[in-house]
Amino acid sequence: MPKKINAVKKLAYLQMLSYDITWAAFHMIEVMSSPKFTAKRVGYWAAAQSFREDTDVIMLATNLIKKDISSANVWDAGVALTCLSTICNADLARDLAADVVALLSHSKPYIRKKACLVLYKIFLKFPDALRPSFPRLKEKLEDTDPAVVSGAVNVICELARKNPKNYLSLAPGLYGLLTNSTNNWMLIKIVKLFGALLPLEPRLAKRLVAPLTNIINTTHAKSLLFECIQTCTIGLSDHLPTVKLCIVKLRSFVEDPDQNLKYLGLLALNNIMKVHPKAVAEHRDLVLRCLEDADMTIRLRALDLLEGMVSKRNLPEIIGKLLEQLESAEVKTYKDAIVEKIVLICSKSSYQHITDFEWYISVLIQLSQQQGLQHGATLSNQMLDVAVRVKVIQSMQTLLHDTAALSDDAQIGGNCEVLLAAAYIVGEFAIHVTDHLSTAEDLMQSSVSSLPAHIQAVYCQSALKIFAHALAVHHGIVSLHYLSSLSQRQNTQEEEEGEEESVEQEEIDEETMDSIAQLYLSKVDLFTHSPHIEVQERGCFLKEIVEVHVESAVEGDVAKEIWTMFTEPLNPVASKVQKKMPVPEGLDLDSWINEPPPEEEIEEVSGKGFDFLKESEEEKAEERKFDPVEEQKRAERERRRRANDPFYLGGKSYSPSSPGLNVDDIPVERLSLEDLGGIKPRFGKSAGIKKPRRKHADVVVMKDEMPEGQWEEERESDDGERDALADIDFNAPLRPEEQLPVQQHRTVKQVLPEKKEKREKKEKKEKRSKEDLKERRAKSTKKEGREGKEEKTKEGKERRKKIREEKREGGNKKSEPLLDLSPLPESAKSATTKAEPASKTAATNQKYKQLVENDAVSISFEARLNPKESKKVLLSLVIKNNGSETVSGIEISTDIESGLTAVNEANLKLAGSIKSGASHSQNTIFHCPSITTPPVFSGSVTYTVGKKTQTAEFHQTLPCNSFVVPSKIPKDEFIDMMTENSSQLKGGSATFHPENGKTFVISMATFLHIELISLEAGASLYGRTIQQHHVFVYAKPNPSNGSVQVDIRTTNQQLTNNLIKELTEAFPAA
Amino acid sequence: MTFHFVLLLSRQGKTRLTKWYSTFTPKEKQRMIREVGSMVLNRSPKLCNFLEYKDYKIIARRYASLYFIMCVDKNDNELLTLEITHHYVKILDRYFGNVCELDLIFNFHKAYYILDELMIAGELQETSEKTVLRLIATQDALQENPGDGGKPGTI
Repeated sequence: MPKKINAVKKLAYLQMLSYDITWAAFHMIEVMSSPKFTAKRVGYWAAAQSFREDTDVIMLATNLIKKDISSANVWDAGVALTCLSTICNADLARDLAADVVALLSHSKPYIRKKACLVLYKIFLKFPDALRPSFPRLKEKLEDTDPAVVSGAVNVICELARKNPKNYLSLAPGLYGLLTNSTNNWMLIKIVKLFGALLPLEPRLAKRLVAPLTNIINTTHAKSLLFECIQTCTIGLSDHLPTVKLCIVKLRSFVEDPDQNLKYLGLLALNNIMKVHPKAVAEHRDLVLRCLEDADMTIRLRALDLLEGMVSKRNLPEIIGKLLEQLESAEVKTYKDAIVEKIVLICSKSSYQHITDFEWYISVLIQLSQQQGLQHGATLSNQMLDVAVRVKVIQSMQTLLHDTAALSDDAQIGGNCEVLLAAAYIVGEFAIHVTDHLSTAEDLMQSSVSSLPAHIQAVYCQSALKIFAHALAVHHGIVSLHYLSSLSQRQNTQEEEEGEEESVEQEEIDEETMDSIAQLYLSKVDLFTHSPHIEVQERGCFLKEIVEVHVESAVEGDVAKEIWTMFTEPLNPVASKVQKKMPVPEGLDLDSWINEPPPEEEIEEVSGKGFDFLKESEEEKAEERKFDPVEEQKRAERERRRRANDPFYLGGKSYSPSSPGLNVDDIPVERLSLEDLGGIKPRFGKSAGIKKPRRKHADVVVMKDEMPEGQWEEERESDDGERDALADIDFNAPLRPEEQLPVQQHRTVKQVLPEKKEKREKKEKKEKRSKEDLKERRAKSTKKEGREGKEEKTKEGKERRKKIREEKREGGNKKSEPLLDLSPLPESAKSATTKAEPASKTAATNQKYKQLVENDAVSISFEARLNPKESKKVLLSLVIKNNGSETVSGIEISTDIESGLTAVNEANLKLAGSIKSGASHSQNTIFHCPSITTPPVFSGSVTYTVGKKTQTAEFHQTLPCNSFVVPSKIPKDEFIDMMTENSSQLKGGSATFHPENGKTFVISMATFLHIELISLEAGASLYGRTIQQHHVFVYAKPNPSNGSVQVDIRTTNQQLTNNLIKELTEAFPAA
Repeated sequence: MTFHFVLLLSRQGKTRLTKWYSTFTPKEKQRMIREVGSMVLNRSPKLCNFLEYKDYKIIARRYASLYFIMCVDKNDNELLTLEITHHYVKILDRYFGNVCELDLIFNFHKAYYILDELMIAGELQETSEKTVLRLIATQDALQENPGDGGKPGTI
């Protein structure tokens, strides 16, 4: 054993260095189960280090932990509790909740304080335990030992973060602690706890002002001071003197040379700013200074603060500072943060602080020229957004800038997204373009083909728009530059260079038009030869249009037609608009317009060749009674169908022929601009009334479009994921079935005739409680407070009483084995195994067998396996005192000739005694060298009743089938393994005559612990022994006489013979 | 949950102690150790002890050649965490008598035992230095192998 302890210790060291030691879990349990503290300490510690929630051997340790935490030895209990706190999973939490709660009234504060904190872990994993055990936890707030009180405060503080409402009633007690305690560690937690409670109960605020201010003014502990300030900002934000005091303190934090305090000061100021932005804004100088700090974490916090400090006046200054920072920053994450922040600050509440949008665009362009940042998409969105929303900005000058950026930036990889915006703006606001030829050249330059497909597509479309505009100007449909004519009318002094040029060139002459067309025709191959389908399609479209123009030469009609394609104004549309569009009256979107042809699906599968025919027929039929809604539905149906059709290229491919897909049109077309106050249409006569663009105050920022009557923001009701703990409500009274689950022992013993009735009753009861447990587990995530258990109240009360009694004894009582580990009754077994996969846990082969049964004691045992331990088996022994006197000195000895020898002889002795009626469980690991012949567990047990020592012999075989572990493998692998091992396979067969072949196969699979692999003609099943013998089973029904022939082939002849023997014994008559 | 994990790293980035209070998969653990380690080790000592990492906050402080790294929730009290770290270091110091990295290498399990008496389930359980030391001493005395009891030497 000492060697093993040392080995486990070393393993834990390896685990720390991130090596996987899960294979050793079984050994750790062995060490944990040693009665010596030396071993226990190491074992539990190693288990805590290496076990995970899903470690399968945890369930083997349940009983052990249960026994140890309730042990009379405080130290054993201590290490077990510590371990439990780390490895606790839902099963452990459920099974041990009652025991840990019982420990809350342990005589030693050492255990009480541990139990308190472990309880929190249990609540997290098993929230149902919270309500029944909370009153006990609450009592601990008044414990005599300060550490216990502190533990209880800790737990309640954590719980209150999830659902503070439940803990309001504790406020008076906590207030007492707050004013009387001097333990800063605990005070911090109490103050934090009040921080959670304050927002719920305004009256609390009044009471707390005095003590909190008192602490803030007097304490020397910065951590406590900080916590008080945090709580004040959450709960006392209406109390101005306190807030002022907090800000003063925080300022001293920020000015402190200690970097930690500086950081925290900024963090807390940020919280205050959410409520009192003005009070914090006074300290702008301080924050700006922090921007230059050497520490990035601090700079990031200062950045956060800046967000709330900007105003119209200081925005350019602050942004200027940030741009400077951007230049000097080295770390990429910080640069990213600055760029994000600039965009965030500027776009805040629809560009509230921006007065000069040209400046903003220039900032954006400057940002886009930063090398190596990944903000192309953000910046591009911003540019588009600004261009679409802000009327004034749609000026020639900016666009020229953009085109310049366009050619400059073409090579920069990371920021190429910005080019999308630039190209799009140039195209969409083509009416501002003066020099069409050079813009067209920019759009058609050959480097474009190196851009991502979606950007190329935009280039192509923009080129078309430019072309359409040039054509329209050429034919005099629109004047060249309406802003320049505007500025002429207004006689503005400062005219931009570009505009001056444009004034000279009033019209596009034939020559320019021709050269544009020629340029297009020569360069359009760039797009039409693109490998990207979208680009290619748009390219072809562009080419066709230009060709149409060239062929029909002078006629203005074509020009007009082409131009009208793009005259629809573009407005910003809120993202939620689609959802909020009122459904027109009389339109039921859910009903079918035409019942779908029922055999559609089948036909599709059967004959692909006829699809074309059918489709076109369908289309014809639908065309006759065309309806936009129907069209949409059809398109939707089509799309869904095409998703699985290999003959269609998937995804977003643009199909101009199906109008239903053009989603962009829907909301924009139906809304008239005049409905929206304050927004002027971009085209037509009203353009003349526009104010000169230098007057910043009058900048109109367009709001998102929304359907009429939908202006108010609706609260979105998605709460996100809810915590199970947060859903628990203490105000509802405890329901009778709501109690900590108490594990009950299930022994399978010979039923004496006169006791039979009693036993049946008991069994029923147990079954019921089991069902309850299941039910409760299922409900655990749902909301509490459901009625409907009324009729069970009486039984529930009785049961609760019983459980309470048991709990009271809990401390000294010997542990009982787990409900969950005990096997299901044979009848229920076959039915349930299919539902819960048998391979879920390692220890599936369980079945309590009677070992000894007499007047004094009964011993039953169950074999459990660890698939990783091929030569060991764990026997869980349950010793029950049948007599009226206490039994002591129990010692089990195994025969030498028996196949099993205990790994640890000490485990076969039982130190304590068992009271009358009580039982005790003991896990012992045995060496088991061979499993091909059923090992025999034989020997004798000696025990003392009163003063008489008695001996009872026992002899039980462990059948071979109990060493088989189901393993699910794919069919192919199954066949491969069959052929690979065919030379070594030893076969045998037996014939059965079951009533129902199917049920027989299922129960046979359950009995042999094998998995069904495939069902073809017969059933193929597979399992593996813990010593890696393959077990192949093939069950073939014979329809003529209803018999089933079962072939078993394993890699060991003995094993095959024994398995067949066991099988025929188990299903004798069949 | 207050603490998510406690990590001790040497200046060379070698792990000296890991204690996980929240559940992570082994892969996540390895990644976190790597990421947090590189963040902490590359920090100049003049900077503040707090780092933001995912949804957590890392509180890291260097004592001699060892970095003590604690991971807590975003809304937890950073100063308190620092104080707990200091508390732990003081206890280690008292226990080993002027603790150095070697003590923690040869008696790494002791460091864990002490931590387990100081914290449980990610919460501080004992605020008294003396009590922790007394508890550890009692348990050491209960162990069979006295050579394993205190001073460095055996593993």
